[in-house]
Amino acid sequence: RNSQLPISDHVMPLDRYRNTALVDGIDVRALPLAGDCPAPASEGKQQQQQQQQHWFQRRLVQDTVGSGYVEFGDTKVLCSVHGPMEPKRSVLTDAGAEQSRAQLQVYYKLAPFASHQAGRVSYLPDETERRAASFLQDTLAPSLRLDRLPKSRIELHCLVLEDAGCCLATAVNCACLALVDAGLEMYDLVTAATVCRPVGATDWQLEVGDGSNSGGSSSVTLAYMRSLRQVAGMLVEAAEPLQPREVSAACRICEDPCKMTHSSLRQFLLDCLPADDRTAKIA
Amino acid sequence: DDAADWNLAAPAEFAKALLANRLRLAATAASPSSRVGHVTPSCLGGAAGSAISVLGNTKFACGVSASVVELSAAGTAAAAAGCHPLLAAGVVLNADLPPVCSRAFRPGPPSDLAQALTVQMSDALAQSGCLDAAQLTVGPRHRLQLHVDAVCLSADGSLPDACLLAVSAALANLCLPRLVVPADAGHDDSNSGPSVRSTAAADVGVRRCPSGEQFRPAVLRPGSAVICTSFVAIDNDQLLSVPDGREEALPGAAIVRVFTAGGGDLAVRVVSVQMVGEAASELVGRCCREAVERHAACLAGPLAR
Repeated sequence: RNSQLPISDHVMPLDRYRNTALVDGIDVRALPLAGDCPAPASEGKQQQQQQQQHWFQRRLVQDTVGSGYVEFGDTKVLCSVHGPMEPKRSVLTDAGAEQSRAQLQVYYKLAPFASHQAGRVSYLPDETERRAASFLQDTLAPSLRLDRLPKSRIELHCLVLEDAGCCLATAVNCACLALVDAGLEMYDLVTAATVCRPVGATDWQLEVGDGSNSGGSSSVTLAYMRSLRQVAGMLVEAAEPLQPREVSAACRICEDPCKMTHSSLRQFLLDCLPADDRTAKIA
Repeated sequence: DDAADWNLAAPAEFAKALLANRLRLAATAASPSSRVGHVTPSCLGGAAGSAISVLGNTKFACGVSASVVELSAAGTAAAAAGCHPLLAAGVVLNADLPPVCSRAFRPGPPSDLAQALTVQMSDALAQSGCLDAAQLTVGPRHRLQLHVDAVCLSADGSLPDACLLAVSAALANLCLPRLVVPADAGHDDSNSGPSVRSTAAADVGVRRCPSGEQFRPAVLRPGSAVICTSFVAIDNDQLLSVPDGREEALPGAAIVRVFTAGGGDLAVRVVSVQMVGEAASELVGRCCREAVERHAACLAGPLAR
């Protein structure tokens, strides 16, 4: 009898645990302007040419091993680290490999009010967030000394409070800060930057955190370990295939901001140390 | 170091020894201003109204998003029947306790505590009498619908206190683009029941003012707020206001949460009292008096407009 029940082809994931609106509405930011006039050219902020600075803070979350908070322009990201805890058992992984190194699991979520675009972000994670979590995991895992924590699991939770551009790179910087605050050994600090190419443009531009040039047709996010001079991760998002030389050009543009962020983060961590320990050299 | 070792080995005895000497380790015990809290309004650009509240080590971020809905008369009555009064007024409130704020919360659907917090917040706002739903009206056939999302950034006790502080501040700082309703907007569909309207902007008929003018709907009556003050009563003798997570978990302690509302033209009054455990009525009365005093201090301090 169950086989005779109709199966809908368009099953939307329902959120039964939260309050939902009685009637669907249209975000006020998505409403057109009265009088059929086009949106003014200055509706978005003008592109800022000056270099934006990162603002770091640590130990914001009480009940965690380590936490970090980073602001880059208007983009705000909070990360916290839990663990080491008992590892998850999986039949797909080799039992020996799973016990010799810690597992790193990354969760990435945007707050419902984080987006500067019209519309709320759903509480249920979507494809973009899962891809960002996968990128963070692949980028940060090589920089950690996971072999120092066998038979354990480390969880990294990333929450974006405001996404005004360069969100993924800011999340990488924040995650690195949280991991250092948690006292986990790392080969090097991982810092990231994003370049984007707006529709119709030929040159790459450094993405800034004020919403002026985010949402282009193509973007390249590069995560870099300055001391080791190695690329930890790279994410290319493009509507059309890119030539290898275009990607190389984007990576070269990202390198300098990554180095500057590495210096800023390193100086912030040194300033957090007690005065007696500041004379110790950090590789 | 000895105290830290004692706390690790026998936390209950350590807490009793502290209380016997009238000492508190909570961050909110440092000064009266720390028990009132601190609010940073309009700090999140992605939301129409936002605030971050800090109460000791507990931090909440609240963002308010607005959307326009077209309601027919039949649709309004049918949709509002049997639903929460706050939803019927057009305010959708959700409190979230993500894993980032504490190790106690796991990824996935909201925990029981998060759902209970949402219900507490919704009931407090609905019963407060401070909400002015008429401010959400846009023309004869349209209404604003507010999505209030409170996300915990750090959980260390007194969650409803910090959450309501952020929600009140976010609603008070709501800033929306001025909306214009053309004369021929909307359709005469009073015979149709409640349904999901098309999301095409042309169907709504409401437009934004081209000059970029903004307005501030007084969803919360001017000068008013809804506040929660938590207390922990120990042995019907000691009363700890705005406790942290460790004090809330003390064995044999009763938790009393007093919800107050008012301010401006409205007199400050106790909306509801929720209790976990047993406490003497005199102690509950003392909690209510201190909660009203704290409400006035919040209106004069972090929620001053």
